Amino acid sequence: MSAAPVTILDALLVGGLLAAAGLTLFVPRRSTAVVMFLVFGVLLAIAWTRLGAPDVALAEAAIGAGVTSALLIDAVYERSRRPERATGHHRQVLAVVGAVLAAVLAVGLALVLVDIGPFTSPGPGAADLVADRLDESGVSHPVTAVLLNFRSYDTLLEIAVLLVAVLAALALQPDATLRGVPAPTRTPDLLGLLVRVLAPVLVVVAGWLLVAGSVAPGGAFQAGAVLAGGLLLMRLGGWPGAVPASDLLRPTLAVGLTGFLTLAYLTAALGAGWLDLGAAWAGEAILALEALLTVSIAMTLAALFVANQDPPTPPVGVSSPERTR
Amino acid sequence: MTREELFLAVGAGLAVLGAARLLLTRDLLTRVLALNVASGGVLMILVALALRGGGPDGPDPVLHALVLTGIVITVSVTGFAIGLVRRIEGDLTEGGRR
Amino acid sequence: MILTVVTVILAVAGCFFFAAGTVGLLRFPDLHSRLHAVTKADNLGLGLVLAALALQADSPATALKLGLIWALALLASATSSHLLASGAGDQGGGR
Repeated sequence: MSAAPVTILDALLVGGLLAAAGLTLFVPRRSTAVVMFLVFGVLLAIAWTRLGAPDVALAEAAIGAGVTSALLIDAVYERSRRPERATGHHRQVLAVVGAVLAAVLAVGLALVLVDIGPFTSPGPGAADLVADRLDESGVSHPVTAVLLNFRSYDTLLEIAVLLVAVLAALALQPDATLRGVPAPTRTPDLLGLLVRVLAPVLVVVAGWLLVAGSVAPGGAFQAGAVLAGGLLLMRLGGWPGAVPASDLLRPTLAVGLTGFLTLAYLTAALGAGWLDLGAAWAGEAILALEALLTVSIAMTLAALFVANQDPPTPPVGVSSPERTR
Repeated sequence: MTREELFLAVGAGLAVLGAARLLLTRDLLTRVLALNVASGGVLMILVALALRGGGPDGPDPVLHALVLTGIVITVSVTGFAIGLVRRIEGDLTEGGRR
Repeated sequence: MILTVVTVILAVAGCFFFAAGTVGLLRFPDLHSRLHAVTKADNLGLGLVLAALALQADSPATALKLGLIWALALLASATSSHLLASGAGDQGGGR
């Protein structure tokens, strides 16, 4: 498994990653920087497949290169130049000192990481432990087993963080809903056609990723990200109701965490303990939970995008004309 | 040099590059981008370590699960941060508060 | 053997069209001609590379999936370049 030699592809990939990262961080035009970041995300997804992490590559392609880029591109659509600020003498000194310190730190960190040396087998990692007890988890794909059974506390807290982030983004809106964001008014015909073809495909792909996660790379995160892309496409392509503005929004955002907590309470009350899944029904419980998580993750990512759309929201207290209730 | 070592070194470089830019720039959107680049570097270190610490059945799945969690957290933080950036700059550049 | 030769020819031809599209993107003067270069040449390049991969696929299902990817990419790139071109037209000018 280990000690694969460096190939030309790896060298090109690494060079492209460093170049894209450098351009992302240092070109003065914001739109160029954001497009370079998009390139960086795509190269990262390729890097994950080179490193034997197809789950991560799927998530990166859908989330890192997809959703994040959509957020960023929408953010720079109107203001394309970085605000220029006077660079005083002390800031130049600071920049040079910072660059030197960063270079020293980077080289030092790289040397330490490389110097750890190959792990002996069985390694200090948990790979063998997971492989030994995979049968008890209810699924046969080790990453899904870790995410939703062996270390489901991590995932529970992650879903909570997601919910907090989207609620915080909604709190920037006038009435903490998406009602103040006007729906796209004019939809080009061709985009409508694309949405009619692509939206069902994306829903099918999301469903497949969700189910496949039990046995192969995939799962709730990847499925949720693909579904979020579908929801956004539908909203932009003439179906603004794809991302509900208020009534359905919050239950959909919260259903993942609610389901997770319900499962936790049920296992505590009826089973062996908090989130301790019994081997007999763990597979079904994981799939049901993942289905809820997919819905929540998709709506969270879509709502984060919609909440950030132009025009900037009026301050709290001013009611927008769209409010009819 | 093996592939893991190459990606470990590059991950370290990306993490430090992003973190340094995050600390040294004043532009808010650049900070968001720098945070994302730094996060990519850290995740790359984790994935390379997963390859190195893997068993006979493949890389370490615990680290892969951590990286997946990290990607989702990063996008949610980015979404909120962009909302804040747009609000701050909207207030600053579009003729005061409306 | 013949399969390998055909695969290599298709892949090289695909790479050539990708390179030509990229040169057009970099060298052409305005948005519309750039879009023209990128969408046409890159879609053909992608099709050729995917055809090369489909020849090496281990099952017909994989080859069909590659074909599906090409169809979706064609649809998406046609739509996005149309949107870019008409968006630029709305703002009154090619650049």
